[in-house]
Amino acid sequence: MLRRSISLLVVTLLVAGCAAQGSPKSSGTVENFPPTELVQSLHLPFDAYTLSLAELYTLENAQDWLTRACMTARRYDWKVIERPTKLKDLRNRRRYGVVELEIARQYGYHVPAGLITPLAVDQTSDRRDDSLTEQQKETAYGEGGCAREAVTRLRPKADPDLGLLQRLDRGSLADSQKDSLVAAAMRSWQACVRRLGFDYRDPFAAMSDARWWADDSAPASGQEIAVAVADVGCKEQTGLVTAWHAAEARVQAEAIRTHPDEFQELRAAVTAEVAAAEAVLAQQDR
Amino acid sequence: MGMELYLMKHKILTALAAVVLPAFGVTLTGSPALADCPSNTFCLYETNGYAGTEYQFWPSTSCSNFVSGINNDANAMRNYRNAYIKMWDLPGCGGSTTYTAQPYSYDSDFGNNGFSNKGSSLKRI
Repeated sequence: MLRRSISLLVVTLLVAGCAAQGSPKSSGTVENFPPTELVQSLHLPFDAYTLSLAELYTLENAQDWLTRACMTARRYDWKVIERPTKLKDLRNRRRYGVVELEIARQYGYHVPAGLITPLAVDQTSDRRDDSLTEQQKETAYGEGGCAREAVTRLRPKADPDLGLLQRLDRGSLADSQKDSLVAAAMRSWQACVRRLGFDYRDPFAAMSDARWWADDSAPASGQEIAVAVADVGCKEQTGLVTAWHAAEARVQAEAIRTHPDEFQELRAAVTAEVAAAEAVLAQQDR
Repeated sequence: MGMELYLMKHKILTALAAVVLPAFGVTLTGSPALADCPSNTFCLYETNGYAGTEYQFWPSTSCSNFVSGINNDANAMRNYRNAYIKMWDLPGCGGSTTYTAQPYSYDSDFGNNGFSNKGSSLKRI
């Protein structure tokens, strides 16, 4: 039984290795792609009820300080990462697929490094992890570890139920497509990409095309870039994203009006979590 | 199975997992019954209740797409990383349906969050 399990594992790992050779690697950086006006306008009512990147970084900064205090008490070093907390909220940048022509031209549907989170923060975090000894790792990340304790300390007493929000978030995308302006823009988008030689039911189908992701360690193919450029160009030509976003905003605002207590609870949880983190950070500034 | 044998199997399996594919951002473990998400690892499961094959990730600077097998098939997660992990319903960290896993958190059933069989990519935040 033991031998069989090990064999199975090795075979599975080798299979995984073949698959993982296509594990994602993005090339290039985001510095050449400042967010467009459209990207900066893509805020939605539900955004206020989940943590933005700046808020997540506020929490992680506080966790780092708490971790350092604990590690110091256990006679280990811990480098605190100062993540930026004055950031534009661009969380919906790829909600409607790729919407930036320059990114489509250079990366197709692939993600330039640093587009989702600042590359410098990610690299600093990796360097810290790489520098840790096994004892430091165990003391920070193991059972009863300092990092775990820090996270627990900052977690709200009552975790809000995010299920409703996530279901409504999905629903707003579906419902907004029933809007007559969105439906008309979507038909125009389909016709537009068809004129350019492609056939997709919507921008998500174009982005999800399995051909782009079979080996995404490779840069975007010419075909992927051609489709992505057509996709974004047709979005611009038809006003699809503007109409879609406006319809979604209306659907979400209505959902908030329908579930006032639940959304109030969600907002209170976000506020309390961020306030607890800011209190920790304020102590470090003294 | 006696505890000693279980631990021995677990150690061997863990060692193999670490040795065979140390460089890849994702590995699979073969036996669901023995699967146990290690420290500092993000794990996804095909079936709720942490059942089915366990897929291990160490997300870093890049957006990571799910490999075949777990793509659009994840139903539970354990996040034993010291970081938030965000998942998207489209490859390339795109789309409207997302799920953010808190550090050191777990969720035995994505069905409660409308994320069953949805995930296609993830990124450490």
